[in-house]
Amino acid sequence: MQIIYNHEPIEVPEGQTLKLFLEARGVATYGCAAACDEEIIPKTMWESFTLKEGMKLDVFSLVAGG
Amino acid sequence: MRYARQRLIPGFENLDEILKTKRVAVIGSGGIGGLCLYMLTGAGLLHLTVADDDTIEDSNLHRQVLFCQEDLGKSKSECCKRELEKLDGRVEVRCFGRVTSENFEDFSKNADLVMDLSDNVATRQLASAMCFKFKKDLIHCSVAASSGMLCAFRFSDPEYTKRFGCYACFAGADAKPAFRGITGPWAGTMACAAASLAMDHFAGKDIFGKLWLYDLETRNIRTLNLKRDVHCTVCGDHK
Repeated sequence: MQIIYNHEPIEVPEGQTLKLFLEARGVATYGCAAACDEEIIPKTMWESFTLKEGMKLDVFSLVAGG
Repeated sequence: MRYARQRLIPGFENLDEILKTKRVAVIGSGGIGGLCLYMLTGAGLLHLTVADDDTIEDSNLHRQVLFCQEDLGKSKSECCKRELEKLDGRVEVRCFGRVTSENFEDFSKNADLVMDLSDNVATRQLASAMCFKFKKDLIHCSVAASSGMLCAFRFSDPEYTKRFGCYACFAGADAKPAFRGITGPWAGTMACAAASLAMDHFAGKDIFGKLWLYDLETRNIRTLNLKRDVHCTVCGDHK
């Protein structure tokens, strides 16, 4: 199925969770946050959050500097 | 007169009168905090608490606009207070060292707003947790390289928190952002964004529930909606 990941359309397996998706791409989850269709996905939900056809997924780096 | 140009902005006609009745407690007086504090003092905010236990280093001077080379080795909070007093002799600045869970209640005492402009994730987690505990509204502003984040938490309203959560809800308890360098203009842009958000808040605008992501290289800003984590160790159902 196709989702939009950081503004780019990509193919992902049906039923893939957000956590597995990020692990497959080598994204360190402790350094980023995620939103689906412009709404934040709370961190503890990443393991159960299932990607669906057409979802707009944004994964962005956390920053803490001041 | 000092606020004449500001008063011409629709919605800001009496903002300076409002600001002089408010107290803001700010964590950090460096790349974001220094310029943000200067802008807010200039706008009419005259009661400030500034927490910073750092001393000024050479590598600060390209972006921490309140300090100069003669200040090397001096306390950031004391030099910040000095510069704000030069801008407006009426300003009252209470200086604080490092915020901790033990002193946060004192730090945020009488504050109408807390602003987390610190430089590390541990302080940011603490600020959010403590503001949640003491029901203080909180603006969070952070930057690293060309990425900036800006959001506001209305912890004074329990209904807000049930919907939008806290910092730990989106960052996670194990957040470890990478250190990535910074430029003066990028830090300054976020400083002004934070000051502008605080001004909007005191002017009566609703600033809560959103997370703004700044790409300072492309000048693109994305708006996301915050969402509470029911399992959050700070604000969740079973905290």
